[in-house]
Amino acid sequence: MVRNSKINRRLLMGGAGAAGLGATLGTRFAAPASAQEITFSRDFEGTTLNALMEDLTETTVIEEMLPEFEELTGIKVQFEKVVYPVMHDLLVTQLASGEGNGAYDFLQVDFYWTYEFARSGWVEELTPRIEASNGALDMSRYSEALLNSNSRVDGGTYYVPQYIYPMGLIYRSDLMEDEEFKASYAEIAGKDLAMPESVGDYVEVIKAVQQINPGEMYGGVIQGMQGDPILMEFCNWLYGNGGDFYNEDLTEVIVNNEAGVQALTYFADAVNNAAQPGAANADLNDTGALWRQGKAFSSVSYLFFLSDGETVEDSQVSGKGAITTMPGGTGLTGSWSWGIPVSSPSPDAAFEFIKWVESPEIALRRGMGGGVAAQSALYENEEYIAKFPWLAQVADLAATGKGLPAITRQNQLVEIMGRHLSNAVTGGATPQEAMDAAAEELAELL
Amino acid sequence: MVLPTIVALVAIVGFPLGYALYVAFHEYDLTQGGIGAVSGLDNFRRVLDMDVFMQAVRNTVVLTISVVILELVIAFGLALLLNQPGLRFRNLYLGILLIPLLVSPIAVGLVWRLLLHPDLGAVNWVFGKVGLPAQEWLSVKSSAMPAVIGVDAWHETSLMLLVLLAGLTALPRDPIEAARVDGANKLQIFTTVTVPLMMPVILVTVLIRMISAMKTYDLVYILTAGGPGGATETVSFRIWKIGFTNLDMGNAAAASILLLLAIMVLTLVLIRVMRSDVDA
Repeated sequence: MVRNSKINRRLLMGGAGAAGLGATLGTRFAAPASAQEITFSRDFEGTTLNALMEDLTETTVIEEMLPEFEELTGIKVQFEKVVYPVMHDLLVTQLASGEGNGAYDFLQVDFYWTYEFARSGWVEELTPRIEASNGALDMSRYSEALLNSNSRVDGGTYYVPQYIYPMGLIYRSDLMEDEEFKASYAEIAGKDLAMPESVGDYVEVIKAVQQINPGEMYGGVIQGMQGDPILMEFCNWLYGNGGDFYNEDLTEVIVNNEAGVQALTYFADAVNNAAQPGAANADLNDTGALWRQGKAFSSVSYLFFLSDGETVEDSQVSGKGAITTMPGGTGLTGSWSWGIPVSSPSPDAAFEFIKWVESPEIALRRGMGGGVAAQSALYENEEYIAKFPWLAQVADLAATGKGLPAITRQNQLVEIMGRHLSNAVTGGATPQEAMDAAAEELAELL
Repeated sequence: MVLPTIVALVAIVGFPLGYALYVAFHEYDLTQGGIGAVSGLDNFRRVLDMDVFMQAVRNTVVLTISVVILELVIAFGLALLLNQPGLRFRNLYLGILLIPLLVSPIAVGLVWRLLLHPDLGAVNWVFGKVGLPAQEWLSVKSSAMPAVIGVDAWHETSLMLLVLLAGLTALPRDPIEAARVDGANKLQIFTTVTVPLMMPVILVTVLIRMISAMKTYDLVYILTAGGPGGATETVSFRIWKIGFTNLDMGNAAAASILLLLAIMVLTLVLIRVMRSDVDA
């Protein structure tokens, strides 16, 4: 017997964790996003779903709403919360365990694991389930660019977007308007302070800012730690400078062409002459701390880097930061998505969860809890934007941003590039040598 | 009576080791499904052809030799100080000195990453107070490995201290008294009586420490992630990368077997030295 329940405003508001939030959101559930009632099956009552989740605000917000999902479907969900660096290893060992043998029922997938997981046959293609849901899981809620970068692989839809983390140029908007600061800048740079239009311009700006108040304010705070941190940041410099890792049809490595080498030259120059000491081993914690202390003029970083600066209690820069697209016009846009592993013991119940967590109402509440929404409609929601004004830039960032090339071994690309970039910025190789060495290894990934 | 022990050994040691050996001689790319064809020595050749693996080998040799010597010297010195007859508060000193041993390597890495922070760290703050220039400890190639060695010494010296102090405490007093009666000074007693008597304990300590130093992973993972530019990447760290980034379990198993062989050879050498020392 098929038993169904529907998600509706009354039920949503009935959750224990939603009491306070509900008071402020109640009217919004009558907005267009909730026009469609979504039906959930109670066939899986008594099932417990397990998932490995990154330990961050978005996860906590969802976790607090889980009792509502259990009330709606009878499905209990348990999150195993871990820090990001261990996620891939933990997932891979489970994903490779064979059909139905894994510990996790659904997955939270970073954008550069998507091809690896799908092409290895570890995750289920969701197209049939999405079609059978009759619009309950409506992929038109997401932009085509987002779907192409984190949901579709080789023509099939394997994932459903969860949230995005676009990168861009974060800067001190108050200093851009500060007459004294601008005068000091003009004296050093020999020209007026203005938003940089190219990567080269940006390096010039932050090198000049570095000299205004040496040791007290850095032109940029840069995360140059070997591995993921340096590569994630450098992607912006590379894309912004017109470079890329491979040509468009993925037949040739181009990272060591003129644009790529120039991008690394700019980046190494910035790390050594316009950034905080120790930038070559800094990660996001290091750069974030300096930004929140007001010791940085700018940072090429994630949107949540800015939102932390705006919202963390002891931040010295609340209300003083802004974000814009990477100089040169293109930055990196990362994202997370939901997937169902082939090794999932309960894939049908897992799909019910994905339907629920990506329903417009729940997506809105996740957004209001601090998440950077993946669904386009939320960026037209005035209260969401009013609460997090910097999110107004997300559309621009996402529209101009790129992910990593669509190769299976993106994770390996990150490792290879991270190693050679780190070598270059610490003087172990010239930018040309580093990019040539990286290109040699990247060719093996095609 | 010994059957349960044998079963436990086979289950805990034999099976994983045998499986690793099996995998090392087969193609096993996780993205391609299960274990593939027999590959003979190909995995070993591929690993030894990797520049990054050989760089990790060199780094591991430097790290192992440095930490073993540094920690042995410090630990032996501290053990001698703590072994002085009539020393007051000895247990208190020992308790304090053993604290690092109780902290997990990950916590040690996190704490020292903060202490060595170029801008916000306590170490550079102290340097500034005494007029020394601030250092970029972990982000410059020339200082990253020494910094890792220093942190490792802070963490692991306690273990050596404990073993050496136990050895010193158990030394027979008669030879030392006899040397003193014969007119030997403190240095002569130390070099001609204490050190030779302690040699078996020293060798065991070196052996234990050397094996664990060759497997260093956690500290490097937290402090530098192998950087800058691979300057602190160790063999264990690279094996993890081969296995869980490249997803090549065949190569990772081969690299692990190579590390195991290196450790076994060094262990055999040290055991032989110990035996010859005892025989002499």
